Amino acid sequence: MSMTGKEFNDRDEQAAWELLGRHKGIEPSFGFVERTLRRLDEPTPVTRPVFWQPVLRWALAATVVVALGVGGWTGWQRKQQSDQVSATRVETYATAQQGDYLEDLDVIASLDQLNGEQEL
Amino acid sequence: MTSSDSDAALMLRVKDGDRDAFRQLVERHQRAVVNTIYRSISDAWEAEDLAQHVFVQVFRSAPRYKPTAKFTTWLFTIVHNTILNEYRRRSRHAAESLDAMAHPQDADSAGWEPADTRTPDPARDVAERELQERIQEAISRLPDAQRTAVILCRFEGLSYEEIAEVLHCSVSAVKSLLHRARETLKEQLRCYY
Repeated sequence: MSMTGKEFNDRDEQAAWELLGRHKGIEPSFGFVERTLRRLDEPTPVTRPVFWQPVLRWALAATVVVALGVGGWTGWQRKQQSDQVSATRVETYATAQQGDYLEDLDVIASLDQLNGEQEL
Repeated sequence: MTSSDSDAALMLRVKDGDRDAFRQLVERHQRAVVNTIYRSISDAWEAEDLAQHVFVQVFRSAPRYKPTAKFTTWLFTIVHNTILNEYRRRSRHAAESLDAMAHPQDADSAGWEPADTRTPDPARDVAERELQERIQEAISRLPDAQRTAVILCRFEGLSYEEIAEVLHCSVSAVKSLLHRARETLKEQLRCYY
């Protein structure tokens, strides 16, 4: 299919397009057909496993590094939280052992007892 | 019976493993396939090797061929995919690619001669050779889709619809690709027309 002049924006474009037509192709070499037919009988070349494609190899390595990093960071965070909770519990327990709090609790218990008697 | 019908008929025979039908298809389309690849990759020996690979693909894919599509459209789709794979391979081996792209004249030095280049005038011969190289270089430098569109339109005479089918895009996209390619070629070949 040749393009009509209407499809060109200007004469230069048309001239360049026509110049392309002067490009000479090549002739297939002697015996091309025979060699092609012979290739039909060749075993299908074994393609390298997808894993060894360089891009995939790098992507896999990067994924492993990121996964290890995220996993390590998450584990460290959990350990920190666990330690914090333990420390808080110990601290709370120690505080609860102090007398003031026990006295307060005794007062509240006494007040509850009084309220119960008034209701009766 | 049109040429296209004939191709389809041959392909139906190839489906049944008929090598004689396959030989006829290769003989009929070898020049178009070799040249389409050569104009894309600028390497005559590699173009032949890839062209053979394309035909082997045709033979092996024959069981999946449906005569609803025009044979040449199907064939050039395989050619286009093969060229894209070759570009991907070359981009992985950058040195090899640059070497091949930088010396499109290697085709001549390796014993290849473009068809009908013999001229009695040496000066004219040199000028003609330079022109061939510049055109080849200008085509090679186009982006993949533009290059294929130009080659199929200008050299293989495919319609916009057929090119759209090969490139898996719309007809308007093909027109756009060709427009941009013509703009680029106009600039690159300005001093030769």
